[in-house]
Amino acid sequence: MSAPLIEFAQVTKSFAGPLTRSRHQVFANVSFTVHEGEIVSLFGPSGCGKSTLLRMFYQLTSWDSGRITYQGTDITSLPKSARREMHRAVQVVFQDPRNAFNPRWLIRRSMAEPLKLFKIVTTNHQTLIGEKLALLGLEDGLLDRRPHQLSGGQLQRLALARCLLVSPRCLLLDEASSMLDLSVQARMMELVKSLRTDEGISVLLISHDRDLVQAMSDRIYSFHDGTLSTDIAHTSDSSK
Amino acid sequence: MTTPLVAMHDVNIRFNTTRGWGYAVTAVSADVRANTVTAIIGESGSGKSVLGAAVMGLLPNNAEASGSITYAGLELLGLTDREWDQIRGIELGWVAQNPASSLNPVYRIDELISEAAIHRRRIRRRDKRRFAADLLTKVGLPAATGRNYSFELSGGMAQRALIAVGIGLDPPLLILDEPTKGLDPANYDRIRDAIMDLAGEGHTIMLITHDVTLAEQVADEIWVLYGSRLVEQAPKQDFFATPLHPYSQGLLAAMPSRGLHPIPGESPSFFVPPEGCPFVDRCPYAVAACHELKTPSHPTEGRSVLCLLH
Repeated sequence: MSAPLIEFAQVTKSFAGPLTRSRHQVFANVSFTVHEGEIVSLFGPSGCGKSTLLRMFYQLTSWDSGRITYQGTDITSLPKSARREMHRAVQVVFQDPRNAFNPRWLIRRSMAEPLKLFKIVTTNHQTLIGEKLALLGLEDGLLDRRPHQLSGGQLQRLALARCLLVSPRCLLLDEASSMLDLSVQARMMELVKSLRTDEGISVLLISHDRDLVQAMSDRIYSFHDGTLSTDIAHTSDSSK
Repeated sequence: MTTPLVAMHDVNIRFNTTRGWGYAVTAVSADVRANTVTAIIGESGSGKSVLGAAVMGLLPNNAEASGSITYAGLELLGLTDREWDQIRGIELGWVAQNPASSLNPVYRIDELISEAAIHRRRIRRRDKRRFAADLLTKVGLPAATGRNYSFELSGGMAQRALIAVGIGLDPPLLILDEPTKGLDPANYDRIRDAIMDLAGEGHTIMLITHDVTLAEQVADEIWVLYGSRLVEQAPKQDFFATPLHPYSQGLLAAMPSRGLHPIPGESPSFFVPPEGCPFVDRCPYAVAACHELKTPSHPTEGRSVLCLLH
């Protein structure tokens, strides 16, 4: 069996207290894997460390012990070019979409940013962006607005559309549908499933909506008291 | 049959915006019965919160409302600010949508909870902590929370503190706007239990939510708003067993627990004057006459649906 696309092995994280030298352990010995073409979910209450795990993957926060690998290689020892390729291949939609768009830029400029960053060659950037917006039921007219003129749900869909521009192999979705109406959430999740089926994209879904993770996931990992365990003997339609 | 506490007749609300008139509520006629929980469900922009704000007299200046909304026989549309002062908070309580922006961060929680009672019930300032402590306990928070500021509370705690503010003067009617938005399961359960406790104490509750599961758990009556119109109104059991309007059917089918089936098409524009059924462009059963549909049908007692199929 090939190495998992993403693996967290025995990862422990603690934060320093604000006023004392004592440290607060968020979770200990957390291990999970995401293989090619899988939809895996992390489920747990607020503050259990779900989003912190994502931040670790991008080395936006440190960890005390354990190992995080991408395609079998420790992410801390990846050469710069490989790390850059990983950042293209593994795209993330963070929890708060308002922080994902520069408030001073038009949406059009924010959307084109990853195409420039990863030097994606297309005949027409705007056509590609329009195609991705259409997948999520968004109108081109939104491109000429600024983030404060859009709803949280529209920004969440724009954030996912932006991820898709760079043809990712894996999507990390952190409460990515929390601001969506039911029918719009259903549409986004249908798209995610079709991306997995048609293009073999892996998905790590982070949510505290139990019904949603059960409907979507091949495997569910659940946080309990600072430890992560495989939750619920689980098979969904999506895994068939 | 329980008497209506709030009666709405042909309520229309539109907003004068820089892009023209925006239509938020169109031809809504319905009653909220006393001692019941009425859940108003629908998508963002369907008019749920605007309808709640109209009942509370909190519409912004660019809103134009017509029709009639009565509370215990008193016409609410057109009341003066002085008249609103006599009933807002006392007869009608409002728990706003976002605790982070609805709780003033420079006051402690007990000051926020007791503020209305100090002015309206003339409780003494030195008694405010005890007054707030009782209300905090009622919504399941430690009494000591009263000494905190809103930014020191988690989302779930802040939401419960906001409910404590809303019930400060023990109003018979409570309007809760998206009380479980963004909460994790533990906090969700606490808020749901607090709502059920309030209903058990005899409060009449209008619950504005896009969380269909919450509505199923706590409501007696369901109103479904779509594209500014009330497309279905039904007792909870009837609604979840047999939703009649095609939009209601699509909404339930889109729930994760019912298969995550999306509804094809897009919601109607806020700026297009609504005529006929607002779901007509997405409805698989639509016929030409749907564009002209003005009034809901009444297939059974206590249930109405804006659809030619029924």
